[in-house]
Amino acid sequence: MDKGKKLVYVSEDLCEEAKKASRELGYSLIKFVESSVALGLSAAKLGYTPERASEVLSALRAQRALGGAFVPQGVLNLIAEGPEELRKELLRASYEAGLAHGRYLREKSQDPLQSLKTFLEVTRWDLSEVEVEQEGRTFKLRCVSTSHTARATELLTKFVEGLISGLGYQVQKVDWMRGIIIVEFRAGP
Amino acid sequence: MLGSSLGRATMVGVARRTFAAREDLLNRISELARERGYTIYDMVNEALEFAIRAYEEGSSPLKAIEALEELRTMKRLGLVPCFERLWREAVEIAFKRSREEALRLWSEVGEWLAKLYQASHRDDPLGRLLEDLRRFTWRAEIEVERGDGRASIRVTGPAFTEAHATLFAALLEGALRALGYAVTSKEVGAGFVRLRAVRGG
Repeated sequence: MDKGKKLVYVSEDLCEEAKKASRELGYSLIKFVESSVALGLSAAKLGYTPERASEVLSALRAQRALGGAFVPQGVLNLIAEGPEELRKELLRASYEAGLAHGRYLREKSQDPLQSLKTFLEVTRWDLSEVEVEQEGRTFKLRCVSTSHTARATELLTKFVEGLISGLGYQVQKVDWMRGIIIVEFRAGP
Repeated sequence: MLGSSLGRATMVGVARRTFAAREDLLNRISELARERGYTIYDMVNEALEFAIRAYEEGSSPLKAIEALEELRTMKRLGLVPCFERLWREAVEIAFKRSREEALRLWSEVGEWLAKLYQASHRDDPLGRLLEDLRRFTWRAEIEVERGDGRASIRVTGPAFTEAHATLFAALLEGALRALGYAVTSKEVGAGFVRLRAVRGG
Protein backbone atom coordinates (compact mmCIF):
# COMPACT_ATOMS: atom_id res chain seq x y z
CA MET A 1 0.00 0.00 0.00
CA ASP A 2 1.21 3.52 -0.82
CA LYS A 3 2.62 5.63 1.94
CA GLY A 4 -0.04 7.99 3.26
CA LYS A 5 -2.86 5.61 2.37
CA LYS A 6 -5.18 3.75 4.65
CA LEU A 7 -7.77 1.05 4.05
CA VAL A 8 -11.43 1.92 4.05
CA TYR A 9 -14.49 -0.27 3.53
CA VAL A 10 -17.33 0.70 1.21
CA SER A 11 -20.56 -1.23 0.66
CA GLU A 12 -20.62 -3.14 -2.60
CA ASP A 13 -23.98 -1.63 -3.62
CA LEU A 14 -22.70 1.89 -3.28
CA CYS A 15 -19.56 0.91 -5.07
CA GLU A 16 -21.51 0.06 -8.18
CA GLU A 17 -23.26 3.45 -8.14
CA ALA A 18 -19.99 5.21 -7.41
CA LYS A 19 -18.34 3.41 -10.34
CA LYS A 20 -20.99 4.71 -12.70
CA ALA A 21 -20.74 8.26 -11.38
CA SER A 22 -16.95 8.30 -11.41
CA ARG A 23 -16.86 6.98 -14.98
CA GLU A 24 -19.20 9.76 -16.14
CA LEU A 25 -17.19 12.38 -14.30
CA GLY A 26 -13.89 11.08 -15.61
CA TYR A 27 -12.67 10.27 -12.08
CA SER A 28 -10.96 7.13 -10.93
CA LEU A 29 -13.08 5.23 -8.41
CA ILE A 30 -10.66 5.93 -5.60
CA LYS A 31 -10.66 9.65 -6.44
CA PHE A 32 -14.45 9.60 -6.26
CA VAL A 33 -14.35 7.89 -2.86
CA GLU A 34 -11.76 10.37 -1.57
CA SER A 35 -13.70 13.34 -2.93
CA SER A 36 -16.84 12.00 -1.28
CA VAL A 37 -15.08 11.83 2.07
CA ALA A 38 -13.82 15.40 1.54
CA LEU A 39 -17.40 16.44 0.73
CA GLY A 40 -18.68 14.82 3.92
CA LEU A 41 -16.02 16.70 5.90
CA SER A 42 -16.90 19.96 4.19
CA ALA A 43 -20.57 19.49 5.11
CA ALA A 44 -19.62 18.70 8.71
CA LYS A 45 -17.60 21.94 8.88
CA LEU A 46 -20.83 23.80 8.17
CA GLY A 47 -22.64 21.75 10.80
CA TYR A 48 -24.62 19.75 8.24
CA THR A 49 -25.23 16.05 8.03
CA PRO A 50 -24.80 14.70 4.47
CA GLU A 51 -28.58 14.54 4.14
CA ARG A 52 -28.98 18.16 5.20
CA ALA A 53 -26.13 19.26 2.99
CA SER A 54 -27.83 17.52 0.09
CA GLU A 55 -31.02 19.51 0.75
CA VAL A 56 -28.98 22.70 1.03
CA LEU A 57 -27.36 22.11 -2.34
CA SER A 58 -30.75 21.43 -3.96
CA ALA A 59 -32.18 24.63 -2.50
CA LEU A 60 -29.19 26.65 -3.68
CA ARG A 61 -29.60 25.15 -7.13
CA ALA A 62 -33.26 26.19 -7.14
CA GLN A 63 -32.27 29.69 -6.03
CA ARG A 64 -29.74 29.97 -8.86
CA ALA A 65 -32.03 28.39 -11.47
CA LEU A 66 -34.63 31.05 -10.71
CA GLY A 67 -32.21 33.92 -11.08
CA GLY A 68 -31.39 34.46 -7.44
CA ALA A 69 -28.73 36.91 -6.32
CA PHE A 70 -27.07 37.22 -2.93
CA VAL A 71 -27.13 40.75 -1.61
CA PRO A 72 -26.10 42.58 1.58
CA GLN A 73 -28.89 42.40 4.12
CA GLY A 74 -28.39 46.02 5.24
CA VAL A 75 -28.93 47.27 1.71
CA LEU A 76 -31.98 45.08 1.27
CA ASN A 77 -33.41 46.42 4.53
CA LEU A 78 -32.87 50.00 3.35
CA ILE A 79 -34.57 49.30 0.06
CA ALA A 80 -37.51 47.75 1.90
CA GLU A 81 -37.82 51.01 3.88
CA GLY A 82 -38.44 53.01 0.71
CA PRO A 83 -41.47 55.20 -0.05
CA GLU A 84 -45.04 53.89 -0.35
CA GLU A 85 -44.94 53.57 -4.12
CA LEU A 86 -41.77 51.50 -3.92
CA ARG A 87 -43.22 49.41 -1.11
CA LYS A 88 -46.23 48.40 -3.17
CA GLU A 89 -44.07 47.55 -6.15
CA LEU A 90 -41.71 45.50 -4.02
CA LEU A 91 -44.54 43.58 -2.36
CA ARG A 92 -45.97 42.69 -5.74
CA ALA A 93 -42.61 41.63 -7.12
CA SER A 94 -41.86 39.68 -3.94
CA TYR A 95 -45.12 37.73 -4.19
CA GLU A 96 -44.40 36.91 -7.83
CA ALA A 97 -40.89 35.78 -6.97
CA GLY A 98 -42.31 33.47 -4.26
CA LEU A 99 -44.87 32.10 -6.70
CA ALA A 100 -42.16 31.26 -9.24
CA HIS A 101 -40.02 29.57 -6.57
CA GLY A 102 -43.04 27.60 -5.31
CA ARG A 103 -43.94 26.36 -8.77
CA TYR A 104 -40.36 25.32 -9.41
CA LEU A 105 -40.13 23.43 -6.12
CA ARG A 106 -43.48 21.76 -6.78
CA GLU A 107 -42.15 20.37 -10.06
CA LYS A 108 -38.92 19.20 -8.48
CA SER A 109 -40.10 17.79 -5.18
CA GLN A 110 -41.98 14.73 -3.98
CA ASP A 111 -42.76 16.37 -0.64
CA PRO A 112 -43.82 20.02 -1.09
CA LEU A 113 -44.21 20.67 2.63
CA GLN A 114 -40.70 19.52 3.41
CA SER A 115 -39.46 21.49 0.42
CA LEU A 116 -41.09 24.64 1.76
CA LYS A 117 -39.44 24.26 5.16
CA THR A 118 -36.06 23.29 3.77
CA PHE A 119 -36.05 26.03 1.16
CA LEU A 120 -36.70 28.69 3.78
CA GLU A 121 -34.25 27.22 6.28
CA VAL A 122 -31.37 26.89 3.91
CA THR A 123 -31.74 29.94 1.73
CA ARG A 124 -32.98 32.36 4.37
CA TRP A 125 -30.31 32.05 7.03
CA ASP A 126 -31.47 35.40 8.31
CA LEU A 127 -34.37 33.39 9.80
CA SER A 128 -33.63 31.98 13.23
CA GLU A 129 -36.61 29.63 13.22
CA VAL A 130 -38.78 27.97 10.59
CA GLU A 131 -41.50 25.62 11.82
CA VAL A 132 -44.42 23.93 10.09
CA GLU A 133 -47.16 22.43 12.25
CA GLN A 134 -50.12 20.39 11.10
CA GLU A 135 -53.56 20.69 12.68
CA GLY A 136 -55.96 18.41 10.85
CA ARG A 137 -55.99 19.56 7.24
CA THR A 138 -54.52 22.91 8.09
CA PHE A 139 -50.83 23.73 8.26
CA LYS A 140 -49.26 26.58 10.12
CA LEU A 141 -45.89 28.02 9.08
CA ARG A 142 -43.97 30.15 11.57
CA CYS A 143 -40.82 32.08 10.63
CA VAL A 144 -38.84 34.11 13.14
CA SER A 145 -35.99 36.53 12.51
CA THR A 146 -34.23 38.78 14.98
CA SER A 147 -32.57 40.84 12.27
CA HIS A 148 -35.53 41.89 10.15
CA THR A 149 -37.09 45.32 10.16
CA ALA A 150 -40.90 45.55 9.92
CA ARG A 151 -40.72 46.31 6.20
CA ALA A 152 -38.28 43.46 5.56
CA THR A 153 -40.66 41.12 7.40
CA GLU A 154 -43.57 42.33 5.30
CA LEU A 155 -41.55 41.75 2.14
CA LEU A 156 -40.65 38.22 3.19
CA THR A 157 -44.28 37.56 4.17
CA LYS A 158 -45.35 38.29 0.61
CA PHE A 159 -42.61 36.04 -0.73
CA VAL A 160 -43.75 33.23 1.59
CA GLU A 161 -47.38 33.70 0.56
CA GLY A 162 -46.36 33.36 -3.07
CA LEU A 163 -44.16 30.37 -2.26
CA ILE A 164 -47.03 28.53 -0.52
CA SER A 165 -49.47 29.30 -3.34
CA GLY A 166 -46.92 28.22 -5.95
CA LEU A 167 -46.51 24.91 -4.13
CA GLY A 168 -50.24 24.32 -4.66
CA TYR A 169 -51.59 25.16 -1.17
CA GLN A 170 -54.40 27.57 -0.35
CA VAL A 171 -53.37 30.37 1.97
CA GLN A 172 -56.03 30.79 4.69
CA LYS A 173 -54.64 33.41 7.02
CA VAL A 174 -51.55 35.59 7.17
CA ASP A 175 -50.33 37.30 10.29
CA TRP A 176 -47.06 39.17 10.66
CA MET A 177 -45.29 41.67 12.84
CA ARG A 178 -41.64 42.72 12.94
CA GLY A 179 -39.52 39.56 12.88
CA ILE A 180 -42.42 37.08 12.96
CA ILE A 181 -44.47 35.58 10.14
CA ILE A 182 -47.36 33.14 10.66
CA VAL A 183 -49.18 31.72 7.66
CA GLU A 184 -52.01 29.20 7.83
CA PHE A 185 -52.71 27.20 4.72
CA ARG A 186 -54.28 23.97 3.55
CA ALA A 187 -53.90 21.53 0.69
CA GLY A 188 -55.47 22.75 -2.53
CA PRO A 189 -58.69 21.26 -3.95
CA MET B 1 -25.96 11.37 10.72
CA LEU B 2 -27.38 7.88 10.89
CA GLY B 3 -30.96 6.89 10.36
CA SER B 4 -31.35 9.45 7.61
CA SER B 5 -33.06 8.84 4.32
CA LEU B 6 -29.56 8.46 2.97
CA GLY B 7 -29.10 5.66 5.43
CA ARG B 8 -28.54 2.83 3.01
CA ALA B 9 -24.96 2.98 4.14
CA THR B 10 -25.79 1.62 7.58
CA MET B 11 -26.46 -1.90 6.35
CA VAL B 12 -25.16 -4.80 8.34
CA GLY B 13 -23.84 -7.95 6.71
CA VAL B 14 -23.67 -6.51 3.20
CA ALA B 15 -20.84 -7.14 0.80
CA ARG B 16 -18.01 -4.65 1.15
CA ARG B 17 -15.09 -3.54 -0.89
CA THR B 18 -11.82 -2.26 0.40
CA PHE B 19 -10.01 0.81 -0.90
CA ALA B 20 -6.70 2.41 -0.06
CA ALA B 21 -7.63 6.08 0.39
CA ARG B 22 -5.77 9.16 1.58
CA GLU B 23 -4.79 8.75 5.20
CA ASP B 24 -5.27 12.43 6.13
CA LEU B 25 -8.90 12.38 4.93
CA LEU B 26 -9.64 9.12 6.68
CA ASN B 27 -8.06 10.33 9.90
CA ARG B 28 -10.28 13.40 9.85
CA ILE B 29 -13.43 11.46 9.14
CA SER B 30 -12.44 8.92 11.74
CA GLU B 31 -12.13 11.74 14.28
CA LEU B 32 -15.56 13.05 13.29
CA ALA B 33 -17.02 9.55 13.60
CA ARG B 34 -15.55 9.23 17.10
CA GLU B 35 -17.02 12.62 18.12
CA ARG B 36 -20.45 11.56 16.90
CA GLY B 37 -20.29 8.01 18.16
CA TYR B 38 -20.48 6.39 14.74
CA THR B 39 -18.24 3.98 12.89
CA ILE B 40 -15.91 5.17 10.17
CA TYR B 41 -17.65 2.71 7.83
CA ASP B 42 -20.99 4.50 8.34
CA MET B 43 -19.46 7.93 7.88
CA VAL B 44 -17.62 7.03 4.69
CA ASN B 45 -20.64 5.32 3.17
CA GLU B 46 -22.95 8.20 3.97
CA ALA B 47 -20.48 10.63 2.46
CA LEU B 48 -20.38 8.44 -0.62
CA GLU B 49 -24.17 8.40 -0.86
CA PHE B 50 -24.19 12.17 -0.56
CA ALA B 51 -21.70 12.44 -3.42
CA ILE B 52 -23.74 10.05 -5.55
CA ARG B 53 -26.87 12.09 -4.93
CA ALA B 54 -25.01 15.27 -5.84
CA TYR B 55 -23.84 13.56 -9.02
CA GLU B 56 -27.42 12.54 -9.86
CA GLU B 57 -28.39 16.18 -9.56
CA GLY B 58 -25.67 17.24 -11.95
CA SER B 59 -22.76 18.05 -9.66
CA SER B 60 -19.38 16.47 -9.04
CA PRO B 61 -18.17 16.07 -5.43
CA LEU B 62 -15.64 18.84 -5.99
CA LYS B 63 -18.30 21.23 -7.32
CA ALA B 64 -20.50 20.35 -4.34
CA ILE B 65 -17.62 21.16 -1.96
CA GLU B 66 -17.15 24.47 -3.75
CA ALA B 67 -20.87 25.26 -3.41
CA LEU B 68 -20.77 24.53 0.33
CA GLU B 69 -17.68 26.70 0.77
CA GLU B 70 -19.40 29.52 -1.12
CA LEU B 71 -22.40 29.19 1.14
CA ARG B 72 -20.15 29.53 4.19
CA THR B 73 -18.58 32.68 2.76
CA MET B 74 -21.95 34.20 1.83
CA LYS B 75 -23.21 33.68 5.36
CA ARG B 76 -20.06 35.30 6.73
CA LEU B 77 -20.49 38.28 4.44
CA GLY B 78 -24.03 38.84 5.66
CA LEU B 79 -25.44 38.26 2.19
CA VAL B 80 -29.03 37.11 1.93
CA PRO B 81 -30.74 35.64 -1.09
CA CYS B 82 -32.92 37.84 -3.21
CA PHE B 83 -34.65 37.40 -6.54
CA GLU B 84 -32.29 39.10 -8.96
CA ARG B 85 -34.94 40.90 -10.99
CA LEU B 86 -36.52 42.21 -7.78
CA TRP B 87 -33.10 43.31 -6.53
CA ARG B 88 -32.25 45.17 -9.71
CA GLU B 89 -35.62 46.93 -9.90
CA ALA B 90 -35.52 47.82 -6.21
CA VAL B 91 -32.01 49.28 -6.45
CA GLU B 92 -33.09 51.47 -9.35
CA ILE B 93 -36.16 52.78 -7.54
CA ALA B 94 -34.35 53.31 -4.22
CA PHE B 95 -31.55 55.19 -5.98
CA LYS B 96 -33.98 57.52 -7.72
CA ARG B 97 -35.99 58.12 -4.56
CA SER B 98 -33.28 58.61 -1.96
CA ARG B 99 -29.94 58.85 -3.69
CA GLU B 100 -27.97 60.32 -0.77
CA GLU B 101 -29.19 57.78 1.72
CA ALA B 102 -28.54 54.90 -0.67
CA LEU B 103 -24.98 56.15 -1.31
CA ARG B 104 -24.31 56.51 2.40
CA LEU B 105 -25.54 53.00 3.14
CA TRP B 106 -23.62 51.33 0.33
CA SER B 107 -20.50 53.12 1.46
CA GLU B 108 -21.09 51.86 5.02
CA VAL B 109 -21.57 48.32 3.74
CA GLY B 110 -18.23 48.65 1.91
CA GLU B 111 -16.50 49.82 5.09
CA TRP B 112 -18.02 47.01 7.10
CA LEU B 113 -16.97 44.38 4.58
CA ALA B 114 -13.44 45.77 4.41
CA LYS B 115 -13.08 45.61 8.19
CA LEU B 116 -14.35 42.04 8.16
CA TYR B 117 -11.80 41.05 5.51
CA GLN B 118 -9.04 42.97 7.20
CA ALA B 119 -9.60 40.86 10.29
CA SER B 120 -9.86 37.53 8.50
CA HIS B 121 -7.60 37.86 5.44
CA ARG B 122 -4.58 39.75 6.63
CA ASP B 123 -2.57 38.75 3.55
CA ASP B 124 -4.77 40.51 0.98
CA PRO B 125 -8.06 41.84 2.33
CA LEU B 126 -8.83 44.02 -0.71
CA GLY B 127 -8.12 41.28 -3.25
CA ARG B 128 -10.16 38.70 -1.36
CA LEU B 129 -13.08 41.06 -0.85
CA LEU B 130 -13.22 42.00 -4.53
CA GLU B 131 -13.01 38.37 -5.57
CA ASP B 132 -15.90 37.40 -3.30
CA LEU B 133 -18.03 40.34 -4.43
CA ARG B 134 -17.46 39.30 -8.01
CA ARG B 135 -18.43 35.71 -7.31
CA PHE B 136 -21.51 36.21 -5.20
CA THR B 137 -23.24 39.45 -5.80
CA TRP B 138 -22.52 41.42 -8.90
CA ARG B 139 -21.97 39.57 -12.09
CA ALA B 140 -19.25 41.84 -13.24
CA GLU B 141 -15.61 41.66 -14.19
CA ILE B 142 -13.34 43.21 -11.60
CA GLU B 143 -9.71 43.93 -12.38
CA VAL B 144 -7.28 45.23 -9.79
CA GLU B 145 -3.76 46.56 -10.26
CA ARG B 146 -1.64 47.40 -7.27
CA GLY B 147 1.87 48.57 -6.55
CA ASP B 148 3.79 51.32 -4.71
CA GLY B 149 0.87 51.98 -2.40
CA ARG B 150 -1.49 52.58 -5.28
CA ALA B 151 -4.57 50.65 -6.34
CA SER B 152 -6.51 50.83 -9.55
CA ILE B 153 -9.86 49.04 -9.79
CA ARG B 154 -11.81 48.58 -12.97
CA VAL B 155 -15.28 47.05 -12.92
CA THR B 156 -17.20 46.24 -16.07
CA GLY B 157 -20.59 44.60 -16.29
CA PRO B 158 -23.14 44.85 -19.08
CA ALA B 159 -25.97 44.55 -16.53
CA PHE B 160 -24.67 47.54 -14.56
CA THR B 161 -27.06 50.42 -14.97
CA GLU B 162 -25.88 53.88 -13.98
CA ALA B 163 -27.58 53.50 -10.59
CA HIS B 164 -25.91 50.14 -9.94
CA ALA B 165 -22.53 51.40 -11.05
CA THR B 166 -22.79 54.52 -8.87
CA LEU B 167 -23.79 52.51 -5.81
CA PHE B 168 -21.13 49.89 -6.41
CA ALA B 169 -18.56 52.68 -6.68
CA ALA B 170 -19.78 53.97 -3.29
CA LEU B 171 -19.32 50.51 -1.81
CA LEU B 172 -15.78 50.28 -3.21
CA GLU B 173 -14.93 53.75 -1.94
CA GLY B 174 -16.15 52.78 1.53
CA ALA B 175 -14.02 49.63 1.42
CA LEU B 176 -10.94 51.46 0.18
CA ARG B 177 -11.30 54.13 2.87
CA ALA B 178 -11.54 51.48 5.59
CA LEU B 179 -8.39 49.83 4.23
CA GLY B 180 -6.45 53.07 4.44
CA TYR B 181 -6.70 54.26 0.85
CA ALA B 182 -7.83 57.64 -0.43
CA VAL B 183 -9.61 57.71 -3.76
CA THR B 184 -7.79 60.01 -6.17
CA SER B 185 -9.96 59.61 -9.24
CA LYS B 186 -13.31 58.11 -10.07
CA GLU B 187 -15.16 57.47 -13.31
CA VAL B 188 -18.62 55.93 -13.22
CA GLY B 189 -21.14 55.24 -15.95
CA ALA B 190 -23.56 52.60 -17.15
CA GLY B 191 -21.57 49.37 -17.44
CA PHE B 192 -18.36 50.51 -15.75
CA VAL B 193 -16.63 51.86 -12.65
CA ARG B 194 -13.01 52.97 -12.54
CA LEU B 195 -11.34 54.01 -9.31
CA ARG B 196 -7.79 54.99 -8.52
CA ALA B 197 -6.61 55.21 -4.95
CA VAL B 198 -3.45 55.80 -2.97
CA ARG B 199 -2.66 54.34 0.41
CA GLY B 200 -2.60 56.86 3.24
CA GLY B 201 -3.31 59.71 0.80
